[in-house]
Amino acid sequence: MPVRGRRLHEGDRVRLVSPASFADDAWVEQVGAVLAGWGLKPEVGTHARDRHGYMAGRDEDRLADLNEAFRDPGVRAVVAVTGGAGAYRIVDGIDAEAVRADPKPVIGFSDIANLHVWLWAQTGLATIHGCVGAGGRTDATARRLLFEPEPITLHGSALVDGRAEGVLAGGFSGAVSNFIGAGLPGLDGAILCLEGAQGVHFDRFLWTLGRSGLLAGIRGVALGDLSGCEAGLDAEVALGIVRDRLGGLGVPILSGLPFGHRADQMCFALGVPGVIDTEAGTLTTGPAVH
Amino acid sequence: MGTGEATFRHLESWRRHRVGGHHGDSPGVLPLRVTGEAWVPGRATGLLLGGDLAAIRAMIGAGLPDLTGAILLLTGERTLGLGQVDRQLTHLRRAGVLASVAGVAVGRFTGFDGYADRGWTLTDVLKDQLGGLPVPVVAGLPLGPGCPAVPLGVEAVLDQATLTVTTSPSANGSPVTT
Repeated sequence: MPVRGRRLHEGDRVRLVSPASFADDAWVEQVGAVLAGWGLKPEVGTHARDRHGYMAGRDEDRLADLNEAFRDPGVRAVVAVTGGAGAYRIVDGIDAEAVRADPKPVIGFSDIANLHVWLWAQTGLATIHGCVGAGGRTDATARRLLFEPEPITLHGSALVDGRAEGVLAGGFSGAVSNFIGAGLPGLDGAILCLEGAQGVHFDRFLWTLGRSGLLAGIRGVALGDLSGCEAGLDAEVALGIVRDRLGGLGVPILSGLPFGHRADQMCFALGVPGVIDTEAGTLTTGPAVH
Repeated sequence: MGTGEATFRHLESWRRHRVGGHHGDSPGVLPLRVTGEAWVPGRATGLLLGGDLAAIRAMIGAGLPDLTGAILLLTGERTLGLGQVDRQLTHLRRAGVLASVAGVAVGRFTGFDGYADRGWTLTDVLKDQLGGLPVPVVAGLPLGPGCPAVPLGVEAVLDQATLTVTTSPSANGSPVTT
């Protein structure tokens, strides 16, 4: 059973954090303005604007912001301002007890998928893959996931036919990769969601995953954007790699789903039940909140 | 012999047969004595293992041989930015690899000359991850891509800023089943 936070209401406080890299002030303002436009009270974490190399402050400070947000009972959602690099460095310091005691949605993608994977593995928390502030259906789905306990359906095309139900897990492929042999649970019963295929690392990642034994019992694979991140692959090349590495698993694979490093992505919940139906071309994803 | 992808074969060969291969791009000679910069001073002895960081990382959880007590050789080629090196080193740390080795020998990382990201260089990333280890760490060694080869799976000594390898590998010996 997923551990879900309660749905948000107008007037709720939400915390903006930067667990990975920093964003410029204009973007921080924009994310806050969108949240305020939904009737929420956005607060910027103490260190969310810090700078330390390519990261938003030192590990201990980024971690402190994150744990403060998890521990404050008045904070009802944790919004990562941006991704970048560095979230993987601090995951083991997250206060899992606080997350279990008072679950609340965490929203982000790209490097923030490191938080999604760790939180799913350690606490079973339902999190939100996506972002706030980009406008269009990205913000529309983010708002819906935070305020309404309802499913979201994404449309893609079949790479391997079939229908499967499973728990949605994953995100940015580079983040999933970080946890192989370092905390990634077996994917028995899961639908693996992947976006972001980088250079030689994507093929190696899927090779490693196959060799790791963690794919035993996997129910399906849901692919988002594979081209738009730094050193992203040509979509056809990336799909060829997926076909080679995962095509023999005998589970449905849906590709071209609108999530990840692309314009107008749709947000959806991770750590919750989902359904892949390649005949309908849909990935139906459960609610992020109760 | 090789660098980059060759490290996959070297690690697999070490795990299966206890044959280490040679890390480098041209024939090397023994004894090998190379000097770098001591980031964590000290003396350590162990089997020299490792090579390309990206390959070592890609074998975590998927057949990476036990590197306990080894002198871990780390070299690399730039594929993405500094974050990728940071991710790879974090993976080694989180998987317990960095805590298990007797010392770290950092060789060449190509493609990062003059490269900076928001004020950080490759040296900042490497130092940040490795400079605080409780075992000897020597950086800037002339090993790896474009360098003479060093045998793997043989005893090496890290002493302050110098890495010494005197033993020839018995690469033609019978494979050892593990």
